[in-house]
Amino acid sequence: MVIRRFPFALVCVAAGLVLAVAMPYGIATGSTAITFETVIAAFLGPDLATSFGLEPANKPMTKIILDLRLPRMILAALVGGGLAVVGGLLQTATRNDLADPFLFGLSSGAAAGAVFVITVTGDFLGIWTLPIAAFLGGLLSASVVLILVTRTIHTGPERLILAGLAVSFLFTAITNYLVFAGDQRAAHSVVFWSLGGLGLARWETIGFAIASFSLLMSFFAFRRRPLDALLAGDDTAHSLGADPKEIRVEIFVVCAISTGLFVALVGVIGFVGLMIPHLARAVVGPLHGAMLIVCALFGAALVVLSDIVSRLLLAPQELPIGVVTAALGAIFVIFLVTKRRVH
Amino acid sequence: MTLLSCSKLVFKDSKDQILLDHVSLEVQAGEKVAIVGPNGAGKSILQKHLSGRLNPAMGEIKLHDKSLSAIPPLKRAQLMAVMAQSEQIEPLLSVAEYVSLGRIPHQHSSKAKEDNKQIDRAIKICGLEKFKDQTIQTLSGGERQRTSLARAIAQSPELLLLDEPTNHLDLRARADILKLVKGLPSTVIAVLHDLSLVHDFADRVIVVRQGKIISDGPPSESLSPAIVRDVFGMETLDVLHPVTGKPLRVYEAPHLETNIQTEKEFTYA
Repeated sequence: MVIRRFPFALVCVAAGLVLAVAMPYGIATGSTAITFETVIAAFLGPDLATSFGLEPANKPMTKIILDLRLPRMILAALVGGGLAVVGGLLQTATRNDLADPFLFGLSSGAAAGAVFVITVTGDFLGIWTLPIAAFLGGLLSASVVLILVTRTIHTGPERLILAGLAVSFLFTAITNYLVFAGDQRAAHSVVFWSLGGLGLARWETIGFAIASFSLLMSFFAFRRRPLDALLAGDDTAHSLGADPKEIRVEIFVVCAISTGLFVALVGVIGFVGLMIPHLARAVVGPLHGAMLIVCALFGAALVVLSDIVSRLLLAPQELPIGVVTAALGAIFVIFLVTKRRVH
Repeated sequence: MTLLSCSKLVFKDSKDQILLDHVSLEVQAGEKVAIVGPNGAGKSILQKHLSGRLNPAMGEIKLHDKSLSAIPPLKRAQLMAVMAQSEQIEPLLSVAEYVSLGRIPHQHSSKAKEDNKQIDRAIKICGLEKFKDQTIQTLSGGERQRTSLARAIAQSPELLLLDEPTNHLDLRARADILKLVKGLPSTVIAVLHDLSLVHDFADRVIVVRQGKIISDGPPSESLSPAIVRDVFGMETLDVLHPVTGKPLRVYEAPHLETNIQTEKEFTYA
């Protein structure tokens, strides 16, 4: 049986086109309906818009388009692309089909951090309090998992899954205790951190998403070949000049920091990091050079589209985006289970 | 020219059991060496030391007269390729993609054109042309072993280390893969399980038991009837092939049939 692969360039162009259509559409869609002409006019500014024969966008419209929806779409693309790349890296590191960015108990750690701030300390750092608390909570849980894993790494990567699960349960227990013992407001916050949302996207915070995405991409650029070596198994990877244990630790640390930053900005958007790497591998093969770039593009497209769906489904109300990705993910996992993989 | 040498290698496991006991050996360029021994003798452990995968508690390994641990990993990988035992390979890799991994050690020194040439050559040597675009998961055991060998050949190493390359293979596939290895220009050190395959392949045999080298020499000396009886508990029978006149070696377990007969006689008496 000969495998069918798609040309890398073609896949990139196709995914790029989807993004190029979906992002402006996402800017025009929402509780305030905006026409494409207005979107273009807002981008051009009043002077250029008139010279192109378009009616200039009024002030509130321009504000919605440029200060709310544009950063929202950019954030969606960065987070989606980043989470998919993290998933791809972790599936390589653990050699496990079900590895995803929230393997380290990051989601429960972030929720615990946010709820701790709400119920115990209050917003002592202004608008930054919640993201910082969520980031630190996520990093704390990830560190616990990483310490557990590096101490037992010679016993095999599947330990990571168990360690992540255990730490997840622990932080969920802490969160639930805080919610029941304290402020009921915290319950809403738990929903945000466990189901995700792009509603907090602002220009002020987008730098963190860019930093996180750049961290992933530069790691990928410098370590692409050792990552490929891991696909051959540990002993062979070593004989190819790569140190499997060292690369794994690098992957875990980079992924934990990146995911922590994403979670602090948008909460947990599940299943993107699980699904997309499988699709990317099926389309362009498992070598990282092509696979991770396709992951980034597909992941970006998926989260941008999911965000649009989450705003349309119960409009004018906004559905948490995690609900949309979870529904897609469930279908995908069922497909994965029924598909036989021969090792 | 001595390619690889080790002196007084000692390795202990976490329970302080000695797995390698002052092992010393020298391998000359161009030699085809087989390492044999009963299960648990320390063959694979020795091989993992020679490849640098494990570090010895005592002793030193030298490749081209340089300490193996002092050679940078990529440089080491340019000189030495390893075909490890039963690796978990990503099942969605195509044969060509997997073989291309063998070029990773040359990433900074070799051009894409040269890489492709080496990859194609390795695929051709191992007879994998028609499997090139198939995924690893669709291959049979023998095809998979040949793919693994092709990846090691693509590395264009001076020294090839093989850990039980004939594992899980049927009779024909075993003979085929060793014939293939025998024809390579590289120096080869292979851990082998099946004694009957050693004679055709190796010009030197190292017998290991309980972490010690018992004998080291050409097959006829290293696998003398006395040593085979002592180390493997097997009897040997040397005969001549009735048609070609080539010497043949048969290994058999001692007195097995007589024992069964006695038991039968006893039961039905």
